[in-house]
Amino acid sequence: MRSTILRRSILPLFLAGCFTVPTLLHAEEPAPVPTTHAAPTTKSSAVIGGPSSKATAADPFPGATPQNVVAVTAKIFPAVVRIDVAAETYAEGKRDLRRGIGSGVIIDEEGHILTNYHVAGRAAEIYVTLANKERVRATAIGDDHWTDLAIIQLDMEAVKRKKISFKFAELGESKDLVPGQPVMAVGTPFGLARTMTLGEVSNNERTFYPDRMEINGYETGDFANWIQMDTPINPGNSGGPLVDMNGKVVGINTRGGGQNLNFAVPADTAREVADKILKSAGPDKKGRVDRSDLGIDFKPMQDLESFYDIDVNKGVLVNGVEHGSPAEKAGVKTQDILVEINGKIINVRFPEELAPMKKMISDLPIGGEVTLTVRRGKETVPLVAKTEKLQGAIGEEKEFKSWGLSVREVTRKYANERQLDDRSGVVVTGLRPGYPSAKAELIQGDVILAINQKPVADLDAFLKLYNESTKGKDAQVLLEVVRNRGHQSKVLKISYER
Amino acid sequence: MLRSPLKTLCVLSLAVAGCRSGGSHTGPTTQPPLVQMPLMTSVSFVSPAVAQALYDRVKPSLVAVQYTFNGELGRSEIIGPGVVVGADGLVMLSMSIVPSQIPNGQMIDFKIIVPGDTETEIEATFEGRDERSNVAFVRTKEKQDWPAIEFIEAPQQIGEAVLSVGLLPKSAGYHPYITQSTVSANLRGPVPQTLVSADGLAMLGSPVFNAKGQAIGFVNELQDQAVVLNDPRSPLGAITNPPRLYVPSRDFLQSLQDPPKAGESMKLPWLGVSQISGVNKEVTDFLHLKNEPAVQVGAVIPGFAAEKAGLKAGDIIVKFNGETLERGDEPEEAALILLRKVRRLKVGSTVSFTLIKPNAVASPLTEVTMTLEERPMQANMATRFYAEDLGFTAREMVFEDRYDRRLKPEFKGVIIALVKPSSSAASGHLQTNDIVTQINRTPITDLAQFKKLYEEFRKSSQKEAVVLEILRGVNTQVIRIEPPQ
Repeated sequence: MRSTILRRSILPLFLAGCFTVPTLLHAEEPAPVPTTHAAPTTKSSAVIGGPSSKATAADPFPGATPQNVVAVTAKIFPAVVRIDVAAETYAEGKRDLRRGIGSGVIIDEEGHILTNYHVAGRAAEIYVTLANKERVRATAIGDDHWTDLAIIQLDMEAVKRKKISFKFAELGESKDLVPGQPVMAVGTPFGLARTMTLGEVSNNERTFYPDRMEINGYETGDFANWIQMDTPINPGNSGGPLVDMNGKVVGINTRGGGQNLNFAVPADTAREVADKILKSAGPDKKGRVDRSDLGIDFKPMQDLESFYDIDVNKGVLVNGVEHGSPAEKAGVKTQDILVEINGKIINVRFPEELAPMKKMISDLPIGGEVTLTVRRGKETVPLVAKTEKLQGAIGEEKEFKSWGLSVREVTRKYANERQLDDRSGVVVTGLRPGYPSAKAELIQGDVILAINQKPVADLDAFLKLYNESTKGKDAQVLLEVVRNRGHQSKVLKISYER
Repeated sequence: MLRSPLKTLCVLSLAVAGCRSGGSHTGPTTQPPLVQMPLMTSVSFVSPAVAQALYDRVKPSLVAVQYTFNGELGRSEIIGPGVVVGADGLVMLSMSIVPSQIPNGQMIDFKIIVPGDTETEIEATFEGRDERSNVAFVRTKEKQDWPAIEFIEAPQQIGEAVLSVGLLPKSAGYHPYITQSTVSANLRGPVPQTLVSADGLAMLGSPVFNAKGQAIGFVNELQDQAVVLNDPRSPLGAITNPPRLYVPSRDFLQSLQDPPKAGESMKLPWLGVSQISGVNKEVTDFLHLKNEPAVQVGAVIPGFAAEKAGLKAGDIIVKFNGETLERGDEPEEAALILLRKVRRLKVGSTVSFTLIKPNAVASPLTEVTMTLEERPMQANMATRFYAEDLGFTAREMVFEDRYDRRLKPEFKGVIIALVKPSSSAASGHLQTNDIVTQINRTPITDLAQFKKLYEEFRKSSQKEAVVLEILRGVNTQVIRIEPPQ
């Protein structure tokens, strides 16, 4: 704990626990301002969803002249929405709903809305308020906590039936952003819909290394550096667009450090993630982004080159190898210097270079073979690893009503953190007082290994055995659990109808 | 539900219980004169005269034990109450005054302070802790002729009067004081405890007497109690919030008969199992155990007695040496009672367990027999090395360090016992419990070699960073400690 405080730079300290969560439903939407949905001028309507006005070659970007600001605001407003969510939470073994407000931006004519994972990721109910103040239901299409992004979709039937109109915004290129360039944020700070604020890009490759960002335990921010801007944003702005003076979305406003230290997910990341979510989503299937993982914790080489006797600007230090990971299986060792991946030269001298390299690994085909060239002492060793699908520390969670219990899948990271023998079983995350699991004296963190002596390999196996064992009233179920790495037996008496 | 407050007390007691009384064999030179016998056999209140007589008699047997905790981050002086249990100068104290978290080598300069106007300080030696009953012993370097307190086993009935004589804190000149209370319950648990009502007892570490003036117990339960006599934050803690639980003599008489001796580590037996838990009623019913107490083996440690005897994780023990297990006030306590029983046996003794397997069909009873082995060395006995220049302490690994992470016995490294706040090691993100496996790319074999490599490197390359490979949890990492420039 001590060291955490010490190593924290001033900046992340500001951030601690204050990313822009959706605000609680307390702020009433202010009285509508009639001008916001006044008939758009021909000029601005042409821009939304259409080709953007190009800056001249001499000007890399248009300035924030009052005329430009007004024009861009008018362009972007019809594509920005307020999102009211009832988010799923698991407390005391039962699924609960927590209400909140965030922002979003419509990205196509099918009514898909890009927002943050931390706004709509676990949403069970979503209502969207459009720029013209019409309120429409929306459904979750997919999400990705690693980039803190989610896609929801307007109920298009209702949109058609009620003849509601909306515009969509164009995703620009964030790689061309330069510090000092003017940008605007649009969203719903504290529930105040359609709020525009103006500022500048403060930095276009912000990393918080060695600190790691997370959303209620879900890792985030690994695969891209952040856009830092001084554009004022507040809780409720989350998921709203950061827009350049061409009216193109260059980022998704995600975190706020207070006053003037704010952070957005770059549009280049958003475009790719939105694409993958939309492609993988189906009628009964949430869209997602699958990534490859090797299980290596990397460290920038900065100042370590001489210690390892290696050329400057070459390789990345293997700081740690996860137990049970593809890298461990391939024989990668801590303090190896990874110099090439599939023949491609790797160079991570500075923390800012970590995210792009992790992105490159995540883009490798899942389950495919990859050649890792490492320097170990004086030797250069080629190793072949087989990538696995990236899994975070927190596994999938489900509630089992008649047991009064919620459980999660045991992931490799969780098993390692808890020093479990392996990944089998499911971990108890919540217990409802008065229900069979609580009565049987299960506690949070117990890993259920077997139901009636049949092994629980994972959540699917648990679900199957749960259904088998919970037939009718008065069933008794024998559980084998591991608590603090010790085995215990527990008996559930099922006394409620399912 | 009603029980839960008591349960908490019992769990606390487990952590700390331990008293010891002047063993009969240490032979107190002065046999305590019995206080005037009242007419009734059971006394619920003693008269001022009886109390005064007891106070006067016990007073010379109460001393303060002082030592210096000489840790890496500084020194502090600790003073706690002690009871003379051997006329030649043997003093018993609660183990909470010398907690096992403090490495033995860091407790120095033991002294016994004899209360009184002169507050005589007498040089003393730390004899050791006795984890069988959570007491510790200190002996004067020179032989004394002190009145010792002889503890006897004498169960108290509900409603009987008990008295306790203790010392007020240093700021009150270690003035002795007496309290009177009434026995209100005899609790069962890993450490038997007697609950008293009314005024409560004297400070933790004080002897408890019955109305006849016999020493029948020791206050050795933590319950948020003041532990030391020189705590500036709440000097009168024990007065305003007096203890209400004591441990009857039967729990610690063994320690008095066979106390630890300086320079000899106490050989405690163990089974080689971990995470033993009590089995709750739902499970005993399910297994048709008919309300018998049972305990479940959580894990069996490879290479030790239990494994060799064939014990398996998940096995349920229903009998120990052929007898039904002793019941506590809570199912969970049956496990702790059993462990404490085992701890009181000698290394090398043979024990047997009757087991069943936890499954729906009634499984046959099996019996396993094993010889108790000596418990492996604990962390507080391990050798340490304080790297003062960079601000961390490394110590040799003990069995538990390896077991916690499922490391093989042949795994080599040193473990970080302490990282000084704001030090170079802290800025390099070194953490307590990290296991160092390499220093500057050289694998570590033991603490002596680590110390040698470290010191040589620091001498030859003062401005260069020390690069350590460590194991944190189950994952390896590289730590780079920049020296102060």
